[in-house]
Amino acid sequence: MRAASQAGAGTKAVSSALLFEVSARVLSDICSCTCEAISPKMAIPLKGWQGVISFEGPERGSVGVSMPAELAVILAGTMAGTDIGTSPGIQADAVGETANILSSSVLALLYGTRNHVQISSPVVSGDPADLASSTSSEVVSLGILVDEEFFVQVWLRVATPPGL
Amino acid sequence: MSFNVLIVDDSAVMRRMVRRALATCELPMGQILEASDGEQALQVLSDSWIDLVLTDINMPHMGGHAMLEAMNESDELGAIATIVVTSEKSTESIERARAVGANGYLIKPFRPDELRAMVENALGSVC
Repeated sequence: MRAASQAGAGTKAVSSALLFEVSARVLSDICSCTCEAISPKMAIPLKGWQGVISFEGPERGSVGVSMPAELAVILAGTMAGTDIGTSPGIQADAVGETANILSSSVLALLYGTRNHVQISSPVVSGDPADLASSTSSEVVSLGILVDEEFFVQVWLRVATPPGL
Repeated sequence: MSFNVLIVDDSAVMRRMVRRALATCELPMGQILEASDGEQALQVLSDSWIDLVLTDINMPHMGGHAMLEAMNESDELGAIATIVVTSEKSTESIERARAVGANGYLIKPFRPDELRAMVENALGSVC
C-alpha cells in the first residue's frame, strides 16, 4: 500500500484488499467504527444511499459508496452532532461527504498526489437502480461490514479499463 | 478580543463539523457565519467584518480556489486569514491555495486539535 501510494500506481495496481484498507481507514476516521471485508454481493443495501464522485486525470472514472440510511444518520451525527437531525437531506449530505473523502484517499492511492486529477461534486442518489446506470467498467468492488451491522459497498470504475 | 469566522462549504454537515471543532478549540470566537459557495462567501465578506475564513475547495458556482483568488485581488479582503479545509490532497491544489494566500491547508477528516493549531497559526500571536 505504501509503495502504491507513493508511486501513484494507477487502477492496474488496485486490488480489493487495497481498496478495503483505504475505505476502512476513512470510515474509521469519520466514525470510529469497525470494518470487516465481506463479499460485495452481500453489501448491496435494499434501501439506502449511493454517493458517487467522478474523476478525470490519468484515467477517467468514478468512485462510489453505498450504504443504508441508518448508517448515513450515524455518519451525519458523528460528523456534525446529533442535533443536526436525520432528514433525508442531511443523510444525503453525509453520504456525499463520505464519498468525497473516500474518493480523495482512493485517488491519492491510485495516482499519487502529484498528478492532476479533477473531481466532481458528489452525486448522491437514494435509488439503487442508479448503481446500474454507469457506462464505465468496474475495476474493483468490495463489501464492508461496518460495526458488525451495516453493509457498505465501495467501488471503483474507469471509463477505459487499463489493458484494453 | 474575539474573532469572527466565516465557514464556506456546500455541505451543511461539514459546516456543522467545522463549527463544532471550532467550539472545542476554546479559542475566543465571536460570530461564526456560514456560506455554501464562494459567491455567497464574497457577499458575506462584503457585508460583515470577518477575521478568518475556513473554506472548502470543491463547491458549485464558485469553488474555494476562485474565491481565494478574488479575495487576494482585493486590498481589503486579501488581508483576511484563510484556511482551506478540504478532502482534496493533490500537491497542485495545495500549491494553488498557497499561491493565492491561504494561511493553512487542512485535510478532512481532521481532529479539532489540528484545526486549533492551524487557526492559531493563521491568526498569529493574537490568540
